[in-house]
Amino acid sequence: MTGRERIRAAMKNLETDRVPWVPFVGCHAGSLIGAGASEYLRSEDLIVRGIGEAVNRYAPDGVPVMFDLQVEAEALGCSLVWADENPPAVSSHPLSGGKALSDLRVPGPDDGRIGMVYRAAGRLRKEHPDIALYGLVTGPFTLAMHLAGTDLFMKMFDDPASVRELMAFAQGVTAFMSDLYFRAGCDVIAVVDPMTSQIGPEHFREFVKPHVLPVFEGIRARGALGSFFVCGQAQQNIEAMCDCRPDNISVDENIPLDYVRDVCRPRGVSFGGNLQLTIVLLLGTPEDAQRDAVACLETGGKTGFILAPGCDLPYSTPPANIEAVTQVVQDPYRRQVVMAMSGRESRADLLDMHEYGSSDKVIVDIITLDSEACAPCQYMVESVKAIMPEFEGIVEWREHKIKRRDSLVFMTSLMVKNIPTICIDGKITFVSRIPKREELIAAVQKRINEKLRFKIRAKRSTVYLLGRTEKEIAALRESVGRAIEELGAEVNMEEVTGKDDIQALGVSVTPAVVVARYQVKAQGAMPSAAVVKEWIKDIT
Amino acid sequence: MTGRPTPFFVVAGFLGSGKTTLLKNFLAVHAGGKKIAVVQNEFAPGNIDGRELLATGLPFKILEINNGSVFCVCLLAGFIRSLAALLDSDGFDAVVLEASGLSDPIALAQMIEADVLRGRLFLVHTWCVADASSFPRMERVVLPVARQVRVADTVIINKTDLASADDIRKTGERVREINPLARRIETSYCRVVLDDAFAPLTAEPVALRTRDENAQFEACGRPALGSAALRSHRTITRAGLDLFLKEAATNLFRLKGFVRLEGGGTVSVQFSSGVLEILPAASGTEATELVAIGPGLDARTFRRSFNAFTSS
Repeated sequence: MTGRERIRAAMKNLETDRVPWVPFVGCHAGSLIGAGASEYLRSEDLIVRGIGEAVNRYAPDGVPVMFDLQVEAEALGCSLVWADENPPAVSSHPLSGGKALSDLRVPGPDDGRIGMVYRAAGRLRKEHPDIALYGLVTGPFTLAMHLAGTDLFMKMFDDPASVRELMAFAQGVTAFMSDLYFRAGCDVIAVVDPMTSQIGPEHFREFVKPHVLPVFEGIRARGALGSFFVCGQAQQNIEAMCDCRPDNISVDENIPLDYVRDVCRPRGVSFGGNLQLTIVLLLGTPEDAQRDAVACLETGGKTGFILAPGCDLPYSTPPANIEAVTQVVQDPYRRQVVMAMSGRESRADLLDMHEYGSSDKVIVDIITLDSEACAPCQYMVESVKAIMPEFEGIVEWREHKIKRRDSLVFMTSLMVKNIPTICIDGKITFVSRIPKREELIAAVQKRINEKLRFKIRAKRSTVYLLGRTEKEIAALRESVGRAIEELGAEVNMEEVTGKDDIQALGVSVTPAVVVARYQVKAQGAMPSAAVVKEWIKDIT
Repeated sequence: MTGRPTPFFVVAGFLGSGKTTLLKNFLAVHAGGKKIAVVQNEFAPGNIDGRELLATGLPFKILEINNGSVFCVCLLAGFIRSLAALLDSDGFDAVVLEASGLSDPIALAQMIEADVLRGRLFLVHTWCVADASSFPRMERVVLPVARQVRVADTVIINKTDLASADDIRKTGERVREINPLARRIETSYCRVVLDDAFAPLTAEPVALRTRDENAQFEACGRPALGSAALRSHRTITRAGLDLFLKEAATNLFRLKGFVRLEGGGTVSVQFSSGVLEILPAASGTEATELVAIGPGLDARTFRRSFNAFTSS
């Protein structure tokens, strides 16, 4: 399936080969090509280039042409304040600055940036025929707010007729922009109305629904798909949004996705969202992004769901976080790994691996999802098995299937983040890559050599001189001391004269000599019982 | 990046409720003795480029974010970078954010967890200014008005000189219903005592606060104070909440907010001066919202710990 087919099917609640993925790349695409938001959002060429780059990097099934809810407002006379890392903000509201609604008219292709957006959409359509293009139009309520300012809220109480009149005008603008995007070749017309999150369902039904329902009817009549975007805490309005009969509803992290699913599904409306924009995508790590994506995929299910961030991606979102989402969308193994790793973990569970790998034998740990279920895991295990005859009795190997809780703890303790991974004596050595036979042998041999070197250096010997009298000790000191000197050996000499100490060494009659060899195994840290067991095996 | 974290204050409230007046009063008390940075993210006619505040002639630094109303989380990235640049440029004794009337204070508070801001700011206090003359009506139309009250430490019921006795009473009752944990002050022109803004925060009157806690705050930075603002749609059992609080609250100076319990119901949680109170909340909440302050508190660890005890 192409991305375009996938989006179309998902929006119609039909089966897809996998969940479609739509990163809402607005001004963030500017960051990918080194352009500031104010420059990017005013240039047809930069938009085409930026979206091209986003398509290359994020392999989306759909992308918005542009994410700027001020386009219509600007064309209607609102002043904008531009910023380098944000879309512009509306800084003046014509209807609260002396203009009357009758002074305004629905803008045309020559007003503001409308023509530029239209041309950019047309070019993107040609360049990316297999990707669904989203035309984002400002929803009537948000546009009304741009035009009238926050006075609009009180007017809903004091002068509802004037609000209805303004909303009817805004509806005309939304319908015009929807038609424009459709003509440019967009597959999905997204009515983005974030300001509706600020009102309750009663006001939504009274002031918003009558002016959004016809817009979606118009979109459907054209054969396009209609999506209703909202961001912010709009949970109270999801049912009312469904009543506007869009094909799809897209929400942000402020609304639980399971709630949206349970409201939308029975009403035949597909839904999308709601990767966390700030805490995860902007401020988190690629691992956080994958965990969040998997949680969304699990909740959303395989039919009628589109994975997307909750809203416009912030300009400086690290691309690695978005690429990480693409990976879990496309790679079922990775998804399973992330799921397995999403089990609860606390620091108390983690093992102290400080001394891991200090036994005589070399331990090769293979962290897998499950070598019977995951092909890369299977090949990695086989590559290790294949070299074992070379190191019989010296090297031990173990597979840790992270579907098991103890293996997950082991993996986390070793700070392994990718599957499959080979660790040699607790050190991450091969990550998500099956090593060649020679490479693996060399890595194991290197560790064996290191250990041998360490062993030679670490072993210490002491000769205990056991005597009850100074005469006995002096005689022993002379003969043993001479022997050590002649050999040039690094051997300690220790004198033991106390009765109990002599007996503790298993000696009952003096003079006597005890030779001991010992090795420092742990220093400044408490070894775990599991580790000590390995040491004990070496000496028994 | 080094040095003790700077106290961070948030002033919330709907446009026209008196936030800038509160800021002016705050600056009149503190700007002489402390270096204050003010961050504004609301565009209001008559206050372009912080004009109204600058007219006070008081010494402080002003930073405007995007010159517009930040109402969506996707617009906050610029906020983070601008704030980091401001902190880089100079050392401040406090940063005060005037949040837009439509903004989400929890989302703003979470921004200080960004890598470039981590460990540099901690959220000390959130004031919410409510215009008593319009609150009863406004709160029913504009949902963020109530949401801002819910996360406030102090709700200033302002403009009582312009409001009817009935509106003042209704405002007080509704504020108490939404957030019984907040301190409520009825006044006009935001005339409130702000001398103790840098003192520790507890639910008790200033005079009852313990000397030890004062000392802890005064020694802020060793260990560095941190704050966490958590919003979660996960639910937690009552027993799970107890376990979480046992783990999380031991080292906190304070914790407050509302928690959605599994099976329905909301409780208010307040931990202050070593005393933990969990009470059924009269008004439900859409999500669990908690704000915590404590030495060495790391927001990510705090969130992870909460998640570990939740049921979904």
